[in-house]
Amino acid sequence: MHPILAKPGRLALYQLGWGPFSALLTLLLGYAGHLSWGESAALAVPLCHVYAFLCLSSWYVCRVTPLRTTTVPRLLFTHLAAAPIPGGLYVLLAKFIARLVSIPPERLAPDLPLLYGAGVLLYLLSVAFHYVLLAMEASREAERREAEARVLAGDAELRALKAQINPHFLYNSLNSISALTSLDPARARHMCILLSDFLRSTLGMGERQSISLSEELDLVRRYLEIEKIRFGARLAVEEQVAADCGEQAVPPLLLQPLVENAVVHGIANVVENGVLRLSAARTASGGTAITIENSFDPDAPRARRNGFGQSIVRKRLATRYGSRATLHAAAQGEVYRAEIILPPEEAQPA
Amino acid sequence: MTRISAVIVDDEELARALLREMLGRHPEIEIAAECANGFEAVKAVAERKPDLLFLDVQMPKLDGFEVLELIGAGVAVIFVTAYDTYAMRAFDVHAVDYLLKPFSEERFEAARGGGGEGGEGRRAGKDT
Repeated sequence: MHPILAKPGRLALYQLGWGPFSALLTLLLGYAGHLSWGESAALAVPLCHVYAFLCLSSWYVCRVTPLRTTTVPRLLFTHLAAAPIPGGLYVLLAKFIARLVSIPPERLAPDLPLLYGAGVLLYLLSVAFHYVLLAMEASREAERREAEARVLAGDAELRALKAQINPHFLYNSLNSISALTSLDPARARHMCILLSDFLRSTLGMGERQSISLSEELDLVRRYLEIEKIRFGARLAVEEQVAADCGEQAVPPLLLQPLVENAVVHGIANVVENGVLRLSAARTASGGTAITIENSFDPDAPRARRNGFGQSIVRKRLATRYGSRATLHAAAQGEVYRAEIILPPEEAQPA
Repeated sequence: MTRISAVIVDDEELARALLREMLGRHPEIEIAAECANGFEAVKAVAERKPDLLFLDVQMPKLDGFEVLELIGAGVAVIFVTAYDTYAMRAFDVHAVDYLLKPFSEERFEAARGGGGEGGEGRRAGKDT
């Protein structure tokens, strides 16, 4: 169904839009001098408003010759070939209305060319108007589809999020707790609390689109606190976070797979004095560069160094930011370095 | 009573402590060495020739399977790991048992019984 006919309000607005045209036609006919001003108005006003309905039909023509897929010559041909028909109808309609308002045909005759021209012109205007209408409809449809895609991407992200806490981290932590229960019950309790704090905050974050970098780093710190109990002196954590990037928006748990990689594929393979360094700083363009560096054993087999955490992070960055965010990871000597660059975006308060 | 000698290999201090504690309840078992990485493990097994080896899989330098390849047959191996994905491989190298972290004392006892009684357990080694 025609979108204007779908709602009475729209039809009223459409008819209102034709008001200026009926006024213009009244003026034209009046100045032409063949009809009195009263006759001009009595002819022009009903003529335009009835013709308005007729012009609605151009919507169907526009729909079968969409701008995007129709060549310009064909477009011109279709509408210019069609225009004389409504033009003719306009003249017939004018004659009919003239009879109704008792204007003799011979007095109308000199105005007929003018009326025919107006009919054609008005029809072409309505064609243009309908193309605008179709474009608006298409853009609304595209927006709806985009929103739908966003929801889908969000779902996928949530599923990825759930996969981000490595279950082996849990098993190993629980094994540490199991050891501590008899060795040092107080530390066992402390570790239970660290672990549940960490888990609780990760679960809460799944529902949020983005969090602040400072929240994300808190989470990373909790995770590392637990890993420090497991790895003891083998894991030292250093931090160099610029104060002005705490409010940078970050997809929740974005850093987790990278930090976990740094521990599992880096620290876990070094015999002693492993260092994990977290840094964050504003970039020249106002975004934030987040770096995770860790010691690793260059002699360890490659398979033991590469997790697929990186690919999860890449995918999430691509879904969220397209090409505006990057992840670069490479080894330099005995240090493995992963750097994320995020575009400027402030976190919304929770 | 024949003393059974055991070597514990795990890169985590707490994981070693747990095994040490559980083994401590068996006076017939003597802990010959504790190792924190694959190199140390190979060295300790060569020097001490233990009856029983508690072996982690993911460790610095050499992983548990690489350790086994280097030491060859002659010791009963019990894998102790958080990863269940290595169970089939462990079976291939004739491990006596496979303990998944965290494990209960009962589960530990069952594994120890299988590998340690009188040093008569099945011997692990490379499948030839």
